[in-house]
Amino acid sequence: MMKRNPLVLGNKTLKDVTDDICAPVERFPSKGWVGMFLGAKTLLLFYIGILASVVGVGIGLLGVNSPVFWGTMIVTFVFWIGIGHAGTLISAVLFLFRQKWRTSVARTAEAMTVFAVMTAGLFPLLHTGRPWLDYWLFPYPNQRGPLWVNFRSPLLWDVFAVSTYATVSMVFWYIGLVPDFATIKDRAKNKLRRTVYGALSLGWRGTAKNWSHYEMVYLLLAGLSTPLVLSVHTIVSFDFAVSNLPGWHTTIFPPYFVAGAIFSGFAMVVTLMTLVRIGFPEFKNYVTLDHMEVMNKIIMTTGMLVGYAYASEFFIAWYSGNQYERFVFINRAFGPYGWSYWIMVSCNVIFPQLFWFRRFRRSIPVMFVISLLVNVGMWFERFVITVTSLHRDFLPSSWGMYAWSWFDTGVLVGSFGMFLTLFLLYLRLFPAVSIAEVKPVLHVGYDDKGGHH
Amino acid sequence: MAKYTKGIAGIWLEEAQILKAVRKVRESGYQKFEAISAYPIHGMEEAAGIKRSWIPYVAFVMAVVGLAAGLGLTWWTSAVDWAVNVGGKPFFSLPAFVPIMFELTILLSALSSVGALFYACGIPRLDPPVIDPDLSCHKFAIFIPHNDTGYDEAKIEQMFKELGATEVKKTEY
Amino acid sequence: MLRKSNTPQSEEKRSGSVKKLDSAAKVAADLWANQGSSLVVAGGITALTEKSKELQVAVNFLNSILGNDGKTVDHKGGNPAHKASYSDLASLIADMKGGKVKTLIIHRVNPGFVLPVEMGFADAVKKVEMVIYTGDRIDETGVFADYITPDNHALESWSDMELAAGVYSICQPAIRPMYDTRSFQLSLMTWAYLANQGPARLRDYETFYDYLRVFWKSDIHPKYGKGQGFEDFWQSVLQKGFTGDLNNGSSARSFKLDAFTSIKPAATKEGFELALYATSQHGDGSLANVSWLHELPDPVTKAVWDNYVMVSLATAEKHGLKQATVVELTVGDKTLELPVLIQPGLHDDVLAVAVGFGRTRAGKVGNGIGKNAFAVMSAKDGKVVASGLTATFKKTSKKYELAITQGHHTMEGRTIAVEATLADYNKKKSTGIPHPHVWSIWSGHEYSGHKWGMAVDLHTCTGCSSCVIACQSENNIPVVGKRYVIEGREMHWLRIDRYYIGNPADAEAVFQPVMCQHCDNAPCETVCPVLATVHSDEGLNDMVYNRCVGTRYCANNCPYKVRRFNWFNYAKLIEKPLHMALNPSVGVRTRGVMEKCTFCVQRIQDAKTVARNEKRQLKDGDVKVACQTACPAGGIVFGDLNDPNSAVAKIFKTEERGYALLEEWHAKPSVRYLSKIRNNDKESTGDQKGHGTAKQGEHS
Repeated sequence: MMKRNPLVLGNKTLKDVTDDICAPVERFPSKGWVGMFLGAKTLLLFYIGILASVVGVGIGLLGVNSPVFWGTMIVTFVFWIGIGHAGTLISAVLFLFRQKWRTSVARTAEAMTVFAVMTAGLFPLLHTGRPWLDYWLFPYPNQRGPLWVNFRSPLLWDVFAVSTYATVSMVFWYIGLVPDFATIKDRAKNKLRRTVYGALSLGWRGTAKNWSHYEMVYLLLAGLSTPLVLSVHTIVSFDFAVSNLPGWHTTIFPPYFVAGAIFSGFAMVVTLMTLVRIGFPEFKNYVTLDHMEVMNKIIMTTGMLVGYAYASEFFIAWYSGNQYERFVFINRAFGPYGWSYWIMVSCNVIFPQLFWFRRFRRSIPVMFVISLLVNVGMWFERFVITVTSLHRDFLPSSWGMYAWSWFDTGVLVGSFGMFLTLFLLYLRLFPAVSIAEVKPVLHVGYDDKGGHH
Repeated sequence: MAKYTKGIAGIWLEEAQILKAVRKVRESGYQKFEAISAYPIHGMEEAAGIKRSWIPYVAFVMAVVGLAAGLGLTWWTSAVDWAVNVGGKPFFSLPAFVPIMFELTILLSALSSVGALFYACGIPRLDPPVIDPDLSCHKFAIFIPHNDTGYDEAKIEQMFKELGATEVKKTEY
Repeated sequence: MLRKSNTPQSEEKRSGSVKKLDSAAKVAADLWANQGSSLVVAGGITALTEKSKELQVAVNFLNSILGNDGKTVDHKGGNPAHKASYSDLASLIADMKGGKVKTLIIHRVNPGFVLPVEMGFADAVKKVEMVIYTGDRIDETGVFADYITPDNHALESWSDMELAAGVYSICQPAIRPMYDTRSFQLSLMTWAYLANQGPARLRDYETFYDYLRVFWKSDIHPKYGKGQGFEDFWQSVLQKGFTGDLNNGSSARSFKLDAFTSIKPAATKEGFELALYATSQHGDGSLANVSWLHELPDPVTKAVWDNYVMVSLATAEKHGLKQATVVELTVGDKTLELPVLIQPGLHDDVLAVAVGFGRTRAGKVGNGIGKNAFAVMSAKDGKVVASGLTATFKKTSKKYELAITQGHHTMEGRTIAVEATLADYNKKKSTGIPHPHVWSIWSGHEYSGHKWGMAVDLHTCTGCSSCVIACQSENNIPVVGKRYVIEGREMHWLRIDRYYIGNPADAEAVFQPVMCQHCDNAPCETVCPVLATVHSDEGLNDMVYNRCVGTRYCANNCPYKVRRFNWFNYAKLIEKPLHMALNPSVGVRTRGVMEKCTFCVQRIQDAKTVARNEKRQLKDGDVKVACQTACPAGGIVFGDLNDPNSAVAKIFKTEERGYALLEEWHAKPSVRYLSKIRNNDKESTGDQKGHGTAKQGEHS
């Protein structure tokens, strides 16, 4: 059997694991956390103000116009949904592939998914012209006909897909948390904590029969979440691919978007994990440099997939001979928005190549910077797709530019306020590493027992 | 208020020990015993004679229900109840309905699996019994209820101690 | 007006296979080939040069030798009211200056705005004892008035007019006077009555209506209403709109050759010449307070809410001028600060500025838009010169932004507005018409009742934009203002795309009105999640405002980009009395809702109701959509494609110039365009690809 590095460093016992991971939940927050939380909270309040203005005054406050009818709200929506997919991938897909190293990052990655989906979910609701009527997108029985919805529209597919994804991710994450909540409840010193975590743990007892059913359901959820995560971002890509704009109407979008989602999601996990390891130094034993390195390898792989997708798009545009398709791609690289295209290419294709070098894969400052650049590049990728395809389409008389306003900036930046507020709260209230999943792999790398879970 | 059953529990500190203990308990003829741990132990199902969970059947059946529901919803609303010419497309646009059907399949299957889990484990429940708070941390336990076949307190205590239990106590579960 | 020949560079740029013909010689040959059925015309403010009289003499001469006089030119016709001239006005102003005018009544003109400063109206009017102004606001002339006696709006009064010599018409009011105004005629009658002065018949009647009827009874009826009682005659004139002699039996005149002795050739000038022009939407600027007109894109430049100085591409390059660079234009001793607009096809030595802008007292909407070009006209010894004046300019460092509705001005080699030369058309009528191979993976829906369709003739379209205003009026389309036009949010459902063709220095233009194509395979319908836009069983793409949630996916998916979105609550901005301008048959859209051309579905429904009440079928011509009614050239034909006798069905079936926009895309639009045929001697250029890519003048 292959000798591998220990998954958990420091020769921890079962009790050590519980103590280490429960510590942030049980102690008073540090100045660092409080500072970051106040910052995130302020940004969140600013964000609420921006969104309230847009809902109250009109979508015209943003830069959308004719012909660019979709703008920062949709770009940022796809950005956040994409980030969410890495969490499900780590939780579900890597579980199916028996990758034991996922155990220490799965919980936080799945939390990132839930919060990213929550952040993303606001955008399809608020980007509409009359958001107070968004409930009309749901096919509920009514007395107005009854009026039904258009199931042929990708936006409707989105409603089902994103709702299913939000629900299943939330459920999957929560099921994973139940045994850990029981752990915290059993350790709780004051009655309030015991009641709250007791309620959250649903009265979990942890008998062998319970664990047997639990593991089966975990496997089922993982097995269901895998096609789900692939289908959700495929359906999000259909928002573009099912339309007929040159630059949108292409069959490569489903795999391209899924690869891109995994790419940006892992980058966000690396960003967050780097910060978590700095904020909670005891976690360095659970989320080791090996874990970080493996994630960087995934980042590089998916980055190259994305780069391949860019190249094949160009090739197919040329090969198709379609004048509109060819023009869109030349315009992307050399037209008025060419600057955004080159930011995308350098951040997504060029910088991640540094990860060929082991030294950089294992360097915290390097991976932190590259993970941030990857997310910058991925936001710009959605910007390039959305805005450059819309701004110059079939009839040149309609060509125009996106009228970027500072509300657009506010929406983009403010969404991070929402995400970070939720994430920082999570770090204090929930155990950030899955205790019940790390314990079975405690000995991996220490002796010959590192077998299957 | 849940009803607890009286019985006897042994507490161990090592995973290997409890696996051996569970095997022995089962060989000794006990059937209603419970093995408690903070995490799922590899090999426990075999040792305790636990049959494969029935939840996958629920998941499968509900998946089929979800698929049918998706098909029924889209077909009935688009081709029967309110058939509207949308983009010149046929009223029953099956290719376009596939994503909806797929998502409902997954949704119903996932939620029903979790529902089945709750049923199978008897959760949520207020005030679950706790033999030892460290059982959700680093300790393991076997509990044999008083109404199990061949229940003999002294014999069980003896067996537990031979198997390396650090603690044996009379308790409720 | 005959152009000076092209600059040498532009000739070299033409492709080698095209024979270069001198344009003046070709025009002469065409005219000569059509003697007696041709027409040479000159006039307008652009022709009001120093040599305008000589120009008119030349035109008269041409018409005479072409045998047009008496055939296409009727010297006895024409409106007899159009007899005054600038020199008459100059002598009046001289009289005013000399204190010889005691009372001055100013009616339906705005001399304070339209006269060149040099005429001295402002100084002279101060010497008049009493100035009465009948305008409806204290405008540029009203400030000089001692009394303002507002006239009714033309639609609020009875009146009559002589349209042409011997042709008379009655104007009926359509609405009671909305404000405290009085028709000018009634004012004269009232003043005569109160002063007990003037002809008796001014004092004998209570209302102008009575006076009018008496006049028509005594003066018009005997001449043109013989055989009818006066009441019948009166009713028939009200219904028909006019009476009188259309055919005056004109005769030809002979041309006096000694008119030529007084014509001296023009001195050649160095430098730039100013050309003033009146836009079709603003004219002299009297309606400057109407926002619709400011938001209406100029037919050629597509600019709104501004005037500017047009320069050619070569001038811009030579002087380093970019679009919207602000320059200080100097004409004589007067200056105007204006942004530059680069105009393909403009003569290199011309600086063109539109008049009718720069009003200071038009009202809330019209004040301060653009600069007043009337002011720089020269007026020496009663002779007003508007164009041909020497002009220079100086760049400033000021920043400015022009609002231009069209995003790009060439077709980039795409088949959009198809045209062919007359020679090619005569060889093959469907020259240039694309015939892509399209197929469908499903069978589509049947339309057994009405199926509405429209044909738009690019050949007759001059880009005048009357259809755009008609649509705005019919469908309560809001105005968004300059800032939001710059941001790409104008609301016109019908737009006219103007593409430049050929060499940018010598560009030609084609106009293409684009509205919702009502596609049978509408891409917008498929993607609306709430079914706010669906296809009716008569082939219309219906837009359901109250269901629209505003996801705007439909607009993204429309390849024709004909959909418009209510980005803000434009409806809230309608304040009294503008609500009276709304069409009650059409709703007003709230914020967050998409809108677009509906093929005037309200008119279709009205016509169907009338037909149902009259227990008959709809016939061709019962439904006339707004744009169709407004088009003066009959370029838009609308009707039922399932009615084999309808004009539009015949066009779809038989007109070989017909094609669908982006046909290969297979949206199956209900609109067909008829290609433009150009009468020029350019050899066949085959397909449309390879025409010049004019980058200048481009907005984005």
